[in-house]
Amino acid sequence: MGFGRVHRLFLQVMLQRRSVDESEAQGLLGNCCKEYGEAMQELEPFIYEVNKELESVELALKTTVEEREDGDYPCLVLVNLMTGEVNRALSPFSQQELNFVQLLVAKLVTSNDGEVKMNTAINLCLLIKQKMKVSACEKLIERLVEDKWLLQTTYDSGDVYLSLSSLIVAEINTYLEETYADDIHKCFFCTKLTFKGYQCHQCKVAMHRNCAKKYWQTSKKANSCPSGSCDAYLGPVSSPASPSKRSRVMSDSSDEMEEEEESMEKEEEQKPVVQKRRNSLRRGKEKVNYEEE
Amino acid sequence: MSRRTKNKPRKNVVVEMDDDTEEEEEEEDYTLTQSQGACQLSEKDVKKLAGQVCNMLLAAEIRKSPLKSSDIRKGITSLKSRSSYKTVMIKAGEMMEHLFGYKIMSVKTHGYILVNTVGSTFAKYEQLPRSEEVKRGLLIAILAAIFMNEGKMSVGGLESFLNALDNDLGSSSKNMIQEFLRQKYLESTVNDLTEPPTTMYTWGDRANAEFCKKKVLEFVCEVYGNMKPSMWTYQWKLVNEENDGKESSS
Repeated sequence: MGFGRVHRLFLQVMLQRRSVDESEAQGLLGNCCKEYGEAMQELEPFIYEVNKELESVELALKTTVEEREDGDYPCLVLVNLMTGEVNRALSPFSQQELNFVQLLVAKLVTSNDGEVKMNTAINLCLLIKQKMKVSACEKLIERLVEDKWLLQTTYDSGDVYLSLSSLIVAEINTYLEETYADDIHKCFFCTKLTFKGYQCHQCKVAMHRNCAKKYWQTSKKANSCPSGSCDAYLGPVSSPASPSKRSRVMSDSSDEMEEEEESMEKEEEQKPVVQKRRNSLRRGKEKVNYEEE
Repeated sequence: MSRRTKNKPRKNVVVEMDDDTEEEEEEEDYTLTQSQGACQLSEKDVKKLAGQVCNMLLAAEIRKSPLKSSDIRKGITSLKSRSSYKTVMIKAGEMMEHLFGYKIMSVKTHGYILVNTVGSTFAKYEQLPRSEEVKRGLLIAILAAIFMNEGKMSVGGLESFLNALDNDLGSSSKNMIQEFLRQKYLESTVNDLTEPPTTMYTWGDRANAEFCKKKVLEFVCEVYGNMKPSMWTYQWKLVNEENDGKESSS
């Protein structure tokens, strides 16, 4: 199919939504085809065709991983590749708001597990050059979440955390790689950036949670660092403080229970070589309550 | 001042571009002495710059702000001459339609907005966040009220209308009304003849491009219940004028 109505409609939707779960993207494409009575198209070659045309306007459709509370979701994102002073002037956010976002991104990238407590984020407004009122900051964060630049998660404990969305990661990918080269981690398997995944402190290897799960399903040494030279033990460890948060679901349930208990002991025995989002400190008042397990 | 040779614009893109050019001529006389001669850019350059203009138009459209031609010239500095600017804008218009199905439209005071040529189809797939839905509802109410008021409404009149819909809606809508003015959904004109001068709201360029008066009239009749659009003679006339306008341009 030559570039036509189906492509244009698909692009209009992507322009409006910016980021779409890959699982939905195929369905969306199907609907666009149906709309004009055209035959069904496969998503991947379609995107390839579209990207060839989008080159002329410095846009691109890219696939990124969105790390949500309950797992990793591949997303199709419409990214603006054109950078420059003028583009910043056209941004829907003011310079002051962009300064805040810059600080927040810094905080998120350098955090242990790609998340920042809402209150911590709000307090950042006191640190930017032209100070922002707390109320304005709260509104800004609301807008950022609504426009899909940030993810907001409320845990059972009631705490609200912010993290990076697929859209912002895709859009500022180059900026992140340049500015935070030492802090960011690329997944060992898919090479895309990961902020909430496993990190081996022994050898600096990092993996998305889902990529790790897939690997461990078939590998001989479940839960160990995939790097050939390193044998470190990596999660899963359900955090005692909020077991509902970060509980990693493995394929074999029987092994799972054993592993969890084992891992609890191991954790106490060996100094955790590796950390998968620890921080009983952070959870503060919800200090350890192992009996809950 | 020697005559500048212009590239002949293609017919179907003519109207909007010409309007803008004429206004620009008055504004930017100082460039005429530099900009003599035909467009200096190669086809490849034209395509590249037009692509950047398209990118900027899309970025501006996120907030529905008109993209000013001064912004375009600021961002793309190789567009000094009148003819290269025009060539690039025409190419940009072609690219927008080809890639996205958007038309570039000039609006008053040297800006451009994007108009969707397949808006009704797109509407089925649009997923608006709640805050945007709210704004749109307010906008439709305001546009309908202005239209039914024979196309013009004073600031005070609009405020009373909104207050009648909901307590204090008039004053709490002030910010959104300012935004609608910026986005060219609404236009305000000041009438100096009255004492004190009154400000009147009318439909802006964007509203005229995006909303169909016929549908607005039908909507109002539905609200009143069982009224025929033709019962509103003045509005019906406006609807027919709009239809004639559409037919002659297609």
